[in-house]
Amino acid sequence: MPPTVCYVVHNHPAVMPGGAETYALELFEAMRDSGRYQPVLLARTGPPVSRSGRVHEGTLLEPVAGAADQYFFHTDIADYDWFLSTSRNKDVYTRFYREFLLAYRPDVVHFQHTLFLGYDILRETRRTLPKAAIVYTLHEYVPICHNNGQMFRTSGEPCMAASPRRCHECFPQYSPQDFFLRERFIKSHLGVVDRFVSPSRFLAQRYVDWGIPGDRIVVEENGRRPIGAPPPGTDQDDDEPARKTRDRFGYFGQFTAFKGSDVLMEAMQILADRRPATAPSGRPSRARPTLRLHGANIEHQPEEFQAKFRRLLDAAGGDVTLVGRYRPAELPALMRSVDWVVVPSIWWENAPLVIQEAFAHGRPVICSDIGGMAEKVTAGVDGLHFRAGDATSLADTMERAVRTPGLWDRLRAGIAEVHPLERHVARLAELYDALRPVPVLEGSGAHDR
Amino acid sequence: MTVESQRLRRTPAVAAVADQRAGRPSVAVGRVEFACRLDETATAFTGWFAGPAIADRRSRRVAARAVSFPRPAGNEHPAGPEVCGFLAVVAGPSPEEAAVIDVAGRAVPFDPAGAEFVDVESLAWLGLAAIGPSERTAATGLMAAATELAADDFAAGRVAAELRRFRDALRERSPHCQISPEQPQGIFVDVVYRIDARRFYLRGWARDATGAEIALSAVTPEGARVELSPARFPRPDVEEFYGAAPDRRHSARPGFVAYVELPAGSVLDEGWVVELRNPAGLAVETVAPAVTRDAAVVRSAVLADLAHEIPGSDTLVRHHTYPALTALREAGGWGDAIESVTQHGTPPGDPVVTVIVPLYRRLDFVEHQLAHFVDDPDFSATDLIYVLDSPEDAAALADLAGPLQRLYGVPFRTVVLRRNLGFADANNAGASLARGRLLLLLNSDVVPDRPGWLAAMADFYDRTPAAGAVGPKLVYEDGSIQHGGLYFIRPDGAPWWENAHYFKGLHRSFPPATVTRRVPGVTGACLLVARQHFERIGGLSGTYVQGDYEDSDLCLRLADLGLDCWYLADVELYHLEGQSYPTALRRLTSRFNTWLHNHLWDERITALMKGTA
Repeated sequence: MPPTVCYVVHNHPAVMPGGAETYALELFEAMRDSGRYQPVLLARTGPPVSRSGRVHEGTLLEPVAGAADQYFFHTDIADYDWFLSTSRNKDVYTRFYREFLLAYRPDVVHFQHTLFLGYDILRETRRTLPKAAIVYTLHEYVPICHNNGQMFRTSGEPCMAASPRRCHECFPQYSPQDFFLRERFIKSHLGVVDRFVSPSRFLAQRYVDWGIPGDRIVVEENGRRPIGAPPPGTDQDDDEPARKTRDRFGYFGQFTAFKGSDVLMEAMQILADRRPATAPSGRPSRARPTLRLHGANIEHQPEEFQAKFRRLLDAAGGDVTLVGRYRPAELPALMRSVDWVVVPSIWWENAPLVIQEAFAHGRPVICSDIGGMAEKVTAGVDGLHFRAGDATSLADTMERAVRTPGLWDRLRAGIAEVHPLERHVARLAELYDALRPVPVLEGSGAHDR
Repeated sequence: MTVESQRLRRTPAVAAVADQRAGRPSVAVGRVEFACRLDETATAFTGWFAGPAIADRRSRRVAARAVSFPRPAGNEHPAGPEVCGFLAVVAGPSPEEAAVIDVAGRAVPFDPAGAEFVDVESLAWLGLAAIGPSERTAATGLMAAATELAADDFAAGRVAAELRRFRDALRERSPHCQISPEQPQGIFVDVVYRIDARRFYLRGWARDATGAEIALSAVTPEGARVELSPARFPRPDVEEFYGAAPDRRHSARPGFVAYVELPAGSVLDEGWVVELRNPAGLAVETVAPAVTRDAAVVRSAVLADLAHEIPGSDTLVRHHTYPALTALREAGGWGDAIESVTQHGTPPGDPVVTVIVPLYRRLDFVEHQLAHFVDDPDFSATDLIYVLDSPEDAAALADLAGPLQRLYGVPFRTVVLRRNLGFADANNAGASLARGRLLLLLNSDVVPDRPGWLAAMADFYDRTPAAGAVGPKLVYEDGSIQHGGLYFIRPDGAPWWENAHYFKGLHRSFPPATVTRRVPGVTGACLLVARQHFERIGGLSGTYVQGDYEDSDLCLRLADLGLDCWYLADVELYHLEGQSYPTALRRLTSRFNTWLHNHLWDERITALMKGTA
């Protein structure tokens, strides 16, 4: 019997799609297929993500679509303290979560996200299973930053370091003492984590700067199993029609302000303004660059951003197409319809899924020159950088991309192999083993520490 | 004889003693002065007697209950200073011939022609003039007991009316309470609940400005006085009224709740008086509102008052809530509650199992169950009983039952109850009609997964030695486990036990849940028990309120008989347990049930759980 790992995540993709949760489910399935560890998945659910609340009295569990090894964990959002990231109803941890841990007794508990779950869940894990290894993958900066975990100031620029005073400046309704207590509270619970996993060096360094011991964080990129990607070793030029110009741009992602879709549309506007309406010969100008926007949730954004978005979209005319929501299975075809994938986020980003997906489909990436984006895309090798938030810089970069002959092909050739999921799973299994000093023995029961 | 003894002979009492010693029969010195008819039920007499007890065998002796009191000094009586006055109550109408009334061992002659018959007020004023306060209390208390002599409720009512007038004429009154911040004492009765003629439950508030320990007593309309030993609780609104500082409003406990048992029944609704007395002797009294009789209202209110329990204490629940609820249940037992029993279809010849399904409001479950039973061959030979615990649905069930039986062919009986009895007694009523030797208690919201489940359970029961109760795996609609055996937990180190189900919420295939084993208890939602055991332990306990702990209580009583509970993992049924978020009342009923369960079973549960640790 292989040892057990419990994956804890803040949402299940069946309820609402999202990067981290999609990765978590893929990891769960791949770990199961590998046979190294036997996984069970615990996905938090409830408002505001799902409409329905807890179903049965006396338990917060609900099997996911009849599966025997995946559970929803219903928590009540009314009890959630957004500032401290904890549930005020401690029964969630001390009774219901504990009962689940005692039933499965996992050897490893690997947290992907604790949003809506709080940080006490780490403490309860250690208390209930003193011998289990606790691993935490950091997908964003929620422990450090109250602004949606973005490390982005409310005044609109990226933040390099948090402090009680600076955080108070972003959120005047919370005093510096409140932020001090928040930091101490969260660090106290993070103290039980045996190993943090960060998908990017950039994010790892921010956490080390914040105070996590350097030897407690390991950098390991998220493995992906992109849908429809050509199997490794296939010549990527198969089925790729040669094109004269590579001027089709694509954006993939939710339309949140942080992701910069407005910057991208402004850049398109600048490009349009630069072009004369007709060529000197009187015929219409040469092929104009086009932008296809793939994504959703514009209606959940603040009014102001929605208005700006629509205004830019309307002004763009036929150059910009709002493709809208897409299913994962449609991604390969959508990727083939664009030449460049643009990731114009104005915040740091960590290890954006979209970059991995673009590379998996042989699309060079144009992205902001900050944070995880700048780490994952190497300018001149597999993509291009522009100055974050600067629509003119982006416009220049896009123009260079279109006009420089052979650049697209060169950059496409420079795309390295995407980190395969199987290798990622093997690395994680090694990490789990290393955190549990006694190697796995067939048929053995409890392990001593 | 000496000169001294001659002088002693002068008093009638001495003479009477001498007569007795000499063996000479003689009648007591004394007589009945006034008599009063209390309807046809009893007769009250006042009078006087002197001297020690004297035997008289000639006249007809009439038994009486009596109180006596010395005549106050200065009230010269011709018979001398040893004279005592008395009040005696005799059952039945007044004797028509001369007789002797046995007044606490003394034979007092009664001559119908000589006694003056008066009404109760006159009896009080003339016959019991100038007696002291404690004697008045004794007198009214004695009279109040006359309600016990009444032949029926009508007679009791008529007697009670007389007694009320007597009480009002005789009793020592304290000043009437004025509710005002300037007054040092305040008392108010919110409610008087009647459980039965002898058992009542009061709630109100009482306050003395000195803050001293106050004594509360109640006087029934008929005159019986009873000391209250109430549970006290905070009433910040009262404290605020009396001008207490804001930080002191929650520390005082003017509120009170009191369960009382009277020596004799009280039948009048109007006229209860409650008195507050402080150690210095200052007292005020107030008239309580009319008695509330509605059993459902009383029950809800008694439960709701649990909210006043001081945290960490169980005074209220132990001395007031529990006796009141127990008495309420006794007062409304289920014995006469079966309104009708109807057979649908041909009853099975010699059924082994009786399946009892209580129905409350949701009649649609009947069709859902029958739609599964129809494909189960076991059910043509099963004694199936549906017990309707919501009588308002009787007509609807009657319309439903016949057609359903014709369509599905499964025979069953419908039992309609006269009133809502609750989970325990609805099952007990069904069990009283059972024909099988095994009983299967089944919730209406349980539906089988596959046929053959009943035979599998019965078969397991019969071949398992010392089996008391057997329960299967119950599964929610999403395939997760609702019940995998029942056990007891102390939530977060609390001093009490609560019930829990093994594996709740986990997938039905969870490996430990596939193991059949002995367990501390099984759920009442699907429970198989031999009828002989069930009857021997008295069925399900009805003292719990609204369905909680009856199943674990049953399992613990079976354990007392040396029988085991078994979880049968191979049999699975669906239990569509409703999503019911606790209302405030549900939380309080739950608290009472938890208290009662622990009060009865704490030691045994502790021993049981130690064994399974």
